[in-house]
Amino acid sequence: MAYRRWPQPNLPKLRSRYAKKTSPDLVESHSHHSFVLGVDNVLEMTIVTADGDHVIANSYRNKDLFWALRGGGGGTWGVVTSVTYKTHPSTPFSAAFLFANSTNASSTRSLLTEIIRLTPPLIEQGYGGYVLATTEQLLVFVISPNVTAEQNQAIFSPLFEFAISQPGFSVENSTFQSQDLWEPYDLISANPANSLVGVPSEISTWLLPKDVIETDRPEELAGELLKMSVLGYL
Amino acid sequence: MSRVDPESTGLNPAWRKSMVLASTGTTWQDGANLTEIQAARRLLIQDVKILEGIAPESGAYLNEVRLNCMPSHPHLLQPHFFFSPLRLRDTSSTGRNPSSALTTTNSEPSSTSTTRNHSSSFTKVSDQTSGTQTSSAKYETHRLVDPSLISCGPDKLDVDLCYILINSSTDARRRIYYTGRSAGDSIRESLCDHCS
Repeated sequence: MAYRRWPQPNLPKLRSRYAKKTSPDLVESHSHHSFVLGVDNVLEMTIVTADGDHVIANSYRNKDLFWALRGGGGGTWGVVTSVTYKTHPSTPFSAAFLFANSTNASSTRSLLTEIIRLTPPLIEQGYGGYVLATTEQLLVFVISPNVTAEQNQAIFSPLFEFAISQPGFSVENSTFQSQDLWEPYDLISANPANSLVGVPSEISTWLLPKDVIETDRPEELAGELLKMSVLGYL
Repeated sequence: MSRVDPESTGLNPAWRKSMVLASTGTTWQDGANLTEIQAARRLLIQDVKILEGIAPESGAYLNEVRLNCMPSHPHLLQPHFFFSPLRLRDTSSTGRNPSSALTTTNSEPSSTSTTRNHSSSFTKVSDQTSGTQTSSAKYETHRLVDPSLISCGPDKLDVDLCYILINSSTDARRRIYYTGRSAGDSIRESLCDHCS
């Protein structure tokens, strides 16, 4: 049910060790490399401040509050009662999915190295999504509104073939076209089976700058990242 | 993301230079005891230390205040993380240093006065020397933090307010200040021992 067109990966370990994002939607999303960040698409908010006033914050009224609300954390400055977003026309997306069970840590590292190498061009082409990794499992799910099915296939075939060629790997992979953003969102994020709502958890994150990803030695970066108990890479 | 002027929102400018948001998480069973929860959190702390080693000049998003403040990780207080360059208006308008402004702020009943500041009395601080803000911009900024996020408060202080002070123009260390009521019910502020 969850993965109507994709093989259902067995993710208990990743899922138990990786807490689902609490509510990152205001800042980032699957498609943030295409439509920039959520905060960049906010046109107006209404907010009840601590002194009880219900005020409008936009580029013309309460400008300082509007500036702070987009980045300082909406709930920090009062109770936000509405948000007006700039929306974008619905558009088709190309998706790619790769899941590998690994009994060979060096294969996992090699695959993550290839993913790091591929990251700058993927982002250039509007891809966003998730990579989850431990030394035993690796999941890639990315989507882009800017590439055709053929381009999507051409981009990911070499990665899929590389993964399949690795010793100690069992691999599931596919590429996929969706009519809109909702379909992949529904499959991954809106599906209760993937939800960790109510599970005691804590998450933490770290921004990795462009020059860190575009390293001359991606295999070393992959090795460092795989020292983590679980890596999420968005 | 780099197409957007970093100054256009209160978001940490580090977002505009980032390519990947690395993340990690930990969970524990419902009803787990404190030892088990702390063990789970230690995994998270270790993961964040690895990420910090990879990109020491970059920043983090949520929860790091508590993580960094835990006794097992006492000195990792870096300039980055999610907080935007804000400071209280009464600080900037009087030109006093932030710690004296804290004292002034809390000469009133702290819960009401600080809540008001929390919601609306802030101003953006731009780089005084160059007029632009970059990652090395000389912010001096502090920010109110939910005390429940802080796990290393002074024992004898009933913490009801925390400030984080960042000065990235010098050595970029962060300091966490607490205000609260001691046994005598007087309001005082103190610097977090773990974080100085």
